[in-house]
Amino acid sequence: MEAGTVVARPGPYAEAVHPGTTPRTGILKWLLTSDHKLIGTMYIWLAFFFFAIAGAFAMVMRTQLAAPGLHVLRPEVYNQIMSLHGTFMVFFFTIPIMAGIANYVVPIQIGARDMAFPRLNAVSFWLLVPAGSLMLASLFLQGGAAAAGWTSYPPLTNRQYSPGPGVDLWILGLHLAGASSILGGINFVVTILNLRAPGMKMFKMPMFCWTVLVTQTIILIATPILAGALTMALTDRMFGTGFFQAVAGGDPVLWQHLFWFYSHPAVYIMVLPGMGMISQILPAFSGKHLFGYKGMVLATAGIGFIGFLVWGHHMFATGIDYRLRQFFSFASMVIAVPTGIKIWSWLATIWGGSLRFRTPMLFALGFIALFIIGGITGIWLALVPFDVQVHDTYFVVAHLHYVLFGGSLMAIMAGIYYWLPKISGKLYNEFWGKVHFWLTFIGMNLTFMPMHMMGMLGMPRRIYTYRPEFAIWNHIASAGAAVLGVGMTIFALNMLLSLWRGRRAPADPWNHSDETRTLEWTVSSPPPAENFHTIPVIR
Amino acid sequence: MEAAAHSHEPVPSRWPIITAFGAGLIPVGLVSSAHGWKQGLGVLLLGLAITVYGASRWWAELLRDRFFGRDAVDAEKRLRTAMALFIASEAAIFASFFAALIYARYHAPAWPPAGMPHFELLVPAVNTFILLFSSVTLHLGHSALERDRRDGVIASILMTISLGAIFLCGQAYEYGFLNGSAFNIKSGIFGTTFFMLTGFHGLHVLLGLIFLNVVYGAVLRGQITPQQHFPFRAASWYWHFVDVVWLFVFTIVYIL
Ligand SMILES: [Cu+2]
Repeated sequence: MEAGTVVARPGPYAEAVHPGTTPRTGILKWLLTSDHKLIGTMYIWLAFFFFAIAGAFAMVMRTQLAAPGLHVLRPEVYNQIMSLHGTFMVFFFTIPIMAGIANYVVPIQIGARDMAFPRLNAVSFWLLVPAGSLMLASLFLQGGAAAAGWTSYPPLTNRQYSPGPGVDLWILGLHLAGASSILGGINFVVTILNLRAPGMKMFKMPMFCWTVLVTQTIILIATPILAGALTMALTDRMFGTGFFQAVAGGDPVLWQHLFWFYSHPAVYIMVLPGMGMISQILPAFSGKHLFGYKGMVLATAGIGFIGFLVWGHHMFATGIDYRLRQFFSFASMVIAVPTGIKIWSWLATIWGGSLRFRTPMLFALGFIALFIIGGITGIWLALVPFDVQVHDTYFVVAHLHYVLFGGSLMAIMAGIYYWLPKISGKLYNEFWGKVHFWLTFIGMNLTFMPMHMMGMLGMPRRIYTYRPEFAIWNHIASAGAAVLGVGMTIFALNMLLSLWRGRRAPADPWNHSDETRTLEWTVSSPPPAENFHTIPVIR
Repeated sequence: MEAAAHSHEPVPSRWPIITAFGAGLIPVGLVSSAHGWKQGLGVLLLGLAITVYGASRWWAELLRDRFFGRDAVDAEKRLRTAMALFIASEAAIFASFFAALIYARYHAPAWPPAGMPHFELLVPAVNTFILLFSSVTLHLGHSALERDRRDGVIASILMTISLGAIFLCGQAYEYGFLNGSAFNIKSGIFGTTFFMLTGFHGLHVLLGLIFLNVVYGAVLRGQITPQQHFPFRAASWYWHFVDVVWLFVFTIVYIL
């Protein structure tokens, strides 16, 4: 059968149109929609809204830290801003924007008309609005927002040290975000397993779909554990339970175990979909197919699996059993193997290709360079003696930003530049896209590379000021942050200008070669409401 | 052609956003009442009511569009996978509470700690049999459904609901007895883990009962047939799951 032949296959929602449920216009079209494309678009907007807030928090922090002894922020406000920066970047920017891009792209890539459960999809999105609002609102309440870092270790979060409502709202905001993640996870896994077009076998799926499948499976296993831990923290504060209370025979370390059982895999929740995007962008701009597709799939699944066995590497300084330390140290280093397979496959993909250095490609290459640095410092930190030495110093801050900024954010930017013409139907200015890339790449290294030095010199993290001997490195980091701020402003203006008066995008603005063109580039930009007039058949 | 093009338009619905914002009110009420604002409890109840109402209207839409729509056969497979994944995620939440109990036991010098009660096994043992029996009655109902014997289905659901209610009464009796001897959720990590695990499980029994009631209503209205009975299947999976969790609770909390 030719692609485009009429295939009698029902769509994912009711065939009959009921009176009163015909598509609406205006604001109600967005508020009541169950279309994965509109929901995906709203996810992206909301995530960038939270990104702007969390980014502004970062700018304020770098201003406070530009020189020793400044008084831009009061110490307790610094703690709140620092905690919310981490929380928002992880739970309200990176995870939702990955869900948003996947929401838009995955159903089209597998040849479906929508997600498996369109209304459930809508509720997953809308839950994020009250969740994020609760956290933001806590800034303005008495006692302010949660101030115990994004990790919120007890006893800092116990009632005697955090008496205000901030920690309660932090817990419940994450509860809502977690519910959103779990419902979304169910939806994505069912969609990918059950809604693929005829002939779209699992091992024919684009790499991005595979990474989303693995990511959403991780979410389904890990997020409930976080929900349990959050419930325990809440009942400790509100109903007098003793889970994390040493006086009651409980143990604050239990929180660390449960929190990291979720939060180490959360790193992969944040970076695996990015790797999927890179695995499509590199071939698209090299004119070659992805090298070692099956190896990539296995490496993705392997990272997802081993990711559940390494949570203790965050607790080397906590006094856990030395045999556990050895196990967690070894398992953490093992993750370098599947990660290495991926990096070599990407390099082999671009090797000998005819490369086109468009903005998405630049960000994809930047991702590889920066993620390798984050991966290498990750292996250092997996070594117990080194980790104990730099524990809770700026070295850890440097490492995690090379993974989450150099990794996740560079990939997100690559993905946004790659799919934006498809989503909005408009082209953007390539020159300013490249300027954004170079400012981000340079600014990122200026900001975070010196933090390695600060950490090795012993500068503790999460403190609003520092001793004068760390000044030079902090001057550089704050200058880098300013460069990043300029870059992100250019990004925002370029995108808004493109939406306002960009040129119309054709179905395939990147001129993919036949072997790299996935299904979303075969339909118009933006795609019609039902994605495909007739469900495609893949041969 | 116009109708054909329309037939694949996504169906808008107002219930997802209403349900989500109702759920968002619950924490507002909870936190404000915990920090001394009297109206907080009212806000909490309002949020709960909106969530439940939104979810029930959503359920009504599902019954109308999905379960008995033209793509129902295709939908059945999707819904089964989804229910299995949902139950798996519930199991993971229980796992975190079991982990807390096992962690506390491993680190405690003595278990139960000094001054804590030893549990009488009679009530939980009887409860175990009641819950196991209720799984059997529900399974018989499934067989009756496949043979299209509606009376059997109705009898089975009513039996199961009664047994579940008896279980909850037994649980309440035990709680009352223990509270009488001044043992409660604030009695150190021992009381904490006991009441949180059994209470969280009891909450799931309650949810299972509500689910069975909803399915009972659908059976009475003739919306559950041998060909189309996903709601029955889902409620029954959920019930068996709650039953299996109880076996773990009984073994780990009471016997070991
Ligand atoms: Cu980790």
